Amino acid sequence: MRSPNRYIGVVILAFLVLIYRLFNIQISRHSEYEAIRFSQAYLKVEIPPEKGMVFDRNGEVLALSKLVESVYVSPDKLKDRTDDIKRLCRVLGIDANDTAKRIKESAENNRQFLWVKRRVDDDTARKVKEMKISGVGFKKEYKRFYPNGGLAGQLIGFRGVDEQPLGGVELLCEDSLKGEPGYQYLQRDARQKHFTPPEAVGQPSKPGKNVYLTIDVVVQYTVENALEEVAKKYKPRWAGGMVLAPKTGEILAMANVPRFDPNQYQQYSDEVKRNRLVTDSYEPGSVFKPFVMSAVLEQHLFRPDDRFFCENGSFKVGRRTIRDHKPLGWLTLSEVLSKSSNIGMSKVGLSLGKENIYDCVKKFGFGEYSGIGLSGEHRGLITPRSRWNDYTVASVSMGHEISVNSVQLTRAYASFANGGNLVKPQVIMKIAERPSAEKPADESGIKYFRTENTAHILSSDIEYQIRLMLREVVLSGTAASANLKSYAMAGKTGTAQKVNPDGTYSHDKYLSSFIAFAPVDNPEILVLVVVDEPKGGYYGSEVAAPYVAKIIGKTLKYFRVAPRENLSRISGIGH
Amino acid sequence: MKVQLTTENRILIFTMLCLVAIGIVSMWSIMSLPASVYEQPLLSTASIVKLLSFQPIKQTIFAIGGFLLFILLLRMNYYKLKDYSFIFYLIILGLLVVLVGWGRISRGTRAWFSLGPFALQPSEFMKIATTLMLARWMMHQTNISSITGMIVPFIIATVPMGLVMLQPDLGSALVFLPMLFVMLFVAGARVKYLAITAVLIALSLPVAYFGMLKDYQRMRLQVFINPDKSPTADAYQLISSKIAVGTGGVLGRGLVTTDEYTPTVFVPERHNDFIFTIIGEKGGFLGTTAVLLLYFALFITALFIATTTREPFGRLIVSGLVTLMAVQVFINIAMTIGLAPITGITLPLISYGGSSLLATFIALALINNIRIKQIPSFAVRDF
Repeated sequence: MRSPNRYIGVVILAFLVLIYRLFNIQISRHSEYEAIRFSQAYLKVEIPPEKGMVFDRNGEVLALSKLVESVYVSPDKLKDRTDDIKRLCRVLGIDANDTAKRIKESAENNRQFLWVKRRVDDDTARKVKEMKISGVGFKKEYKRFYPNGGLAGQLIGFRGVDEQPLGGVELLCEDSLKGEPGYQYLQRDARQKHFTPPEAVGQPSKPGKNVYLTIDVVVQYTVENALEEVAKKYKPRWAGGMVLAPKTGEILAMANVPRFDPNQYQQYSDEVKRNRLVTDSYEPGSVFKPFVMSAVLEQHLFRPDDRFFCENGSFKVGRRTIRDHKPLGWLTLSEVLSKSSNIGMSKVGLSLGKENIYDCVKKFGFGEYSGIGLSGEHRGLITPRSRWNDYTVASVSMGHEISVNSVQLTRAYASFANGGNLVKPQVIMKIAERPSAEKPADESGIKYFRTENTAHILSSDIEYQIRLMLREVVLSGTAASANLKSYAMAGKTGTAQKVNPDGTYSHDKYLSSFIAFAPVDNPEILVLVVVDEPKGGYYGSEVAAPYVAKIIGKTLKYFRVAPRENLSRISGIGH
Repeated sequence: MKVQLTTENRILIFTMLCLVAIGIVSMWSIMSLPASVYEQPLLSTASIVKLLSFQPIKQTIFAIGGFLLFILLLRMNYYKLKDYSFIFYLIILGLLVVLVGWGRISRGTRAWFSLGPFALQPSEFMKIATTLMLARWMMHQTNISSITGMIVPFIIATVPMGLVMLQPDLGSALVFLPMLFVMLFVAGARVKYLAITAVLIALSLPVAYFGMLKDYQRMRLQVFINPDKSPTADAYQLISSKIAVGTGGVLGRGLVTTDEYTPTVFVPERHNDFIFTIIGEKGGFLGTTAVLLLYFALFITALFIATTTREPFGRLIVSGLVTLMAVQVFINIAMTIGLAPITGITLPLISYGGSSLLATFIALALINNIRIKQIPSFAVRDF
């Protein structure tokens, strides 16, 4: 017999090993295991924030986000139940065979989750819920709604499947609109099933800020209606119109036809989705003439009543021939503009010289971003200074060999209506924090966008002379037929031949435009209408001017600007 | 007859009760009564059946019953078992044969006899019966120092061990070996022979690995060697239990945590073989060392009793039983903290399981009884 106390040493050793190991796991490496535990027990799930709303200047809702149901399935549970898949697809209005295939593939790849249809409308969601198919689940997601449908669609822009901004104000203001996502920890049990913990762990999402546009839906509606009329009558490829407050640069309306309804963005071609007033540049034609004219006056080369011979409609510059829309004889400088003589303008331009014209073009902001900020803006093209020749001078003087976008054009025109300032065009009026329980709405959460650093580019007397010349266009010039009785407007027509793909000018494709402001003595609004390839008429005076007049009339009335009859009797302004 | 308790008895009983209490508290801390209990009228048959099948309650009942049996056993004289050792051994061996031959498979093995709401696990009692049988055989053995003298003890131990292995329950089976070796050592077998036998067994392990082990057993070994690369349920269990113990830190997460879903949630069988993970998580390093110290006190006291008992039958029994318990404690805890492969070995006194608890109570009653009786020694040879 031996004493077992020799064996005590083994017991002590065994216990020391265990204690050492426990010390190592529980104390030395505690934080390591704690981290593993957390990641094992919780799943961090992002809570998407509610995107900010978009309003017009008066608080009319243009875009908002609403929670709707998205439908998903557990592929494993549903893969063999063809009947259930069929029933589900019928209600959702999607292809059953295709869906069955997708479910099968996901099940084979061991996926636990498959979207079948994202963001369905409330009615459909209710129907699917009533079917009570096991393996079909719902997740609430935000969906963007545009309650006014296609109103200002291209300006507002749209959002894709994951609410990502894909253009327009949605993209421009995404930083403000997007908000901050919150997060939530879902717990999971040993079977990897997730459930919401009894106490909410995480942080709620912060909704995006609200964006107020400078747009006024009433004006916008007026412009879109006018453009629809143009579209109906002349079937153009595109018609665009915008209204700008010349004193501030605020854009009151910005419309494209055909319209684009961002609620159904999938149904439109890229061409229609574009806000072509920003993204497209074109040769402006005669509407460009006043800029050159202002340079002429500024250089004191001629006075408005100096006379020019317009060669009866045909004039050679180098090897090329310039023609007028009708043969014209001797015209005053003023008449060259109001009757829109290409030959007269070429002569004026040539006497001005290429340096002066180039500087003038740059001064009015052409070839540069307008500052509106919307994505995809095309800066337009200007022939580089070194490559200018006589023909370039003649062409640019009448608005060819140069391309501009509509915002640049409108902005430059505003300087004829506001005392010579080059304003920064803007579509955003203010961005306001979403009021919440802790932070009620007050001024501190609002950021205003006011016109900043407008460059003074034109002395007021020259501006005044141009204004009178433009007034003459409406009174006795090309746009006389569009003259309004109620308000004194001033403007310029443009009828530009479009460039063929081979570089020659087309004889049947035109870009017709009219740009005007009113009332002429104190302009409140500046309106541009551009019509691309109208059919059955092409003069800007015919295709665009009447509609601009209509817009001006309605808008000024809406703004309660006193009509002219009353004024003219007292002050004698206008004719 | 009044039982005279010695200091050693008090230590043993105190540590034993502490450990049982810790086990029951651990179980309560991770389980709550099934909601259906509350739907029944109080004290109706249905609610009582539901309550009785709730594991912490079941374990409490076993603990009370086991403790009563323990007190009862203190009053008898262990020495009388000398005459019954062989009978006990044969009866339980018979039960094992029946079980292996005709038993119903439950949880992968044929380890249980189903007795209504309870299940009897004969292998737990087989360990004690084998210890008694070995002690009975070796107490008068004169040729223990020869090789031939070791043959019968080996047969006594390996027959039940083989049956348990056939259940199959490899972990429980392997516990027989250290017990046999310690008892042979105490009885006076030559260390040289014991060492040679141990080496031979070790050498036969590769053969056993490829020849006898089931796939799942082989997998468990691989998991033990490289848990991170084995995407099996076992690896998951091993890693999760380590994480659970690790999150305990110094003081533990407390019995009642506000965060109800603590990492032991991920440990399957956590009330059973992996109950130590609960102690590690909720009690922290403080809790685990406390449990280890309680076991340590228990074993050292028992070893002290073995040393001071001059009577061979009693000394052999205590040595064998202590070894059984100590090996199980060590392997079980080592397993939960990644030091040993996963085996189906329970943590004596703490793990859930009626048979294990009862068997441990019986073993401890024997040890206490041996201390109380202190039979005058008539050893064959000097100590």
